[in-house]
Amino acid sequence: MKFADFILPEAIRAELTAEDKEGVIREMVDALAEVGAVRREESDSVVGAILKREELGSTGIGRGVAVPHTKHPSMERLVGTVAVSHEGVDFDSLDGDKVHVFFLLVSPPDQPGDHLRALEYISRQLRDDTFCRFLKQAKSLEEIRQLLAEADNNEFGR
Amino acid sequence: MCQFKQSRKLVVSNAEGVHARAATLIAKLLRKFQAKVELVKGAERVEAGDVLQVLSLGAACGEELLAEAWGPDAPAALEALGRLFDQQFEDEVARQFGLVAGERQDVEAEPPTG
Repeated sequence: MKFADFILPEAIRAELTAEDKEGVIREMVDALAEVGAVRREESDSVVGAILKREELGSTGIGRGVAVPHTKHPSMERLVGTVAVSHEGVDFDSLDGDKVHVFFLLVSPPDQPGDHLRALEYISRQLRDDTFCRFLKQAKSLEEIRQLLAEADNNEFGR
Repeated sequence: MCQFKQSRKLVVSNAEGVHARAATLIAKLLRKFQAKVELVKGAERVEAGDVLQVLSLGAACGEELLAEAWGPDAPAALEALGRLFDQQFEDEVARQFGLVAGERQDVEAEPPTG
């Protein structure tokens, strides 16, 4: 699995305006709804499901990264998006630091394999300090898309 | 001080595999120990206390991992890790270890006797 298999380029956000956890999640789900990846009428439900998942434990996994996610019955396949906040958002992360890079995933309830593979791929790429740093510093949609494409082409040494 | 390696086989038995919540629980659990713990899957070896590294294993349901630990409390760390895996990272075992809200006071990793 690669970024091209589940990240929707049109739903990427290069500078989040939200300043808190719920705001970030709403903004990213709205981005998915705008491109039709999430049904508009299901947006609130998806946001609610992601926030409920966050109550079990923050998906801020450290290193300035968070992977908010949920399964949802309205989904037919795994979809995802990426967003960057240069200011950083308090996400109750494991290391206590603000989060700057968000990978949000929404998947069908009966496909845990796809979700796990997407998480595996995101994590593998983010383990590369260069990729992680470039992503946090990205200033435009095109820059983020380019970084994801380069990662998919194994251009970051791991 | 003895620094012999201790090992334990772990089987991923929850349907979702070692996903974000599981990896975070592993990291939180291992903070309670001094031991250095690594997870091995095939040719890959990662630091068990690093969520990103653990997630990068993509350990799915049914797969086996090998946990290796060094340090004075390595056996206890592996025992606790084993319990977390055996009980599929459920809320109850997470609370027993004091990893989530509603945590109990007995956060020691020693298994119950009797």
